[in-house]
Amino acid sequence: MQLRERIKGQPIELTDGMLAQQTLAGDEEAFARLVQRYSSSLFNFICRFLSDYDAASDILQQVFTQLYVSLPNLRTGEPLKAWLFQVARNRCLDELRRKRIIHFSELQAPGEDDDLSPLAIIPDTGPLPEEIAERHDLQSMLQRAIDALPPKFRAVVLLRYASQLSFSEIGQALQMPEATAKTYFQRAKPLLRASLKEQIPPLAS
Amino acid sequence: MQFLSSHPTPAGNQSEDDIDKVFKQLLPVEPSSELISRILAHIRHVVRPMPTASEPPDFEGLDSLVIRNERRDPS
Repeated sequence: MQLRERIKGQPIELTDGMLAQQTLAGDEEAFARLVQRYSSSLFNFICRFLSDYDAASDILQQVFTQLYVSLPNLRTGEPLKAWLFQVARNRCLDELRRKRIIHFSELQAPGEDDDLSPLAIIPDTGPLPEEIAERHDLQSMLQRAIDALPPKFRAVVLLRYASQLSFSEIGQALQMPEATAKTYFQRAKPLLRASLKEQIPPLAS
Repeated sequence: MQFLSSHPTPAGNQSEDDIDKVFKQLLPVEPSSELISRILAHIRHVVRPMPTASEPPDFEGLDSLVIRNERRDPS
């Protein structure tokens, strides 16, 4: 009896599928719960990917709008979490392409070209005067190291570090084998290490 | 601080190096409550299309565990 009451007192955690079903039935609160469930991890990923808070806000709205209009025909066969991050990554790449701050060749699908260009390997190590003043700002340092990564590595690194996804989930989100996600992650680390060493020399000692 | 050293994690199946440790300090960037409210307000005005297929949506798939895709050819 006591056990039943304790269980009765606990909020029931509805699955994504249940919430999606309730949303389709007209329950707006159910969709709001989906938004609450994933907005933080998605926004963290998008914001870190673009280094642009306003653009990240717009893209987060686009991702949830796409989810909302896609619900009646959603047959992904994959977890909602992976689907959301997949959409977010694609929107981020669209945004970068729109700003023309990455080369088209960097947007190639995984596996089309695993070799890094020499320019992509060289980290942006020339600090501006104001950047020197920020050297002790760990967050700025980490963000610059992330920004220096080619987009395909940046996505893997952020999904791992910022959104805490497993490599299985990263593979799903980026539509690549789990082993490839691990490989990209490992290949990104020397680039991060190089950036951090150059920007914060004391840390490299 | 050394970035090259690594040691096993408590889980034991993966090693954690100093890059991992540094990036653990990456602070989350949270969306504002105003942004969430704006998104939900926007959604209320979005017209959702009707289902185009005879089959119902795959809601069970949304809750499925991540399928390991190690058997796919590495790219």
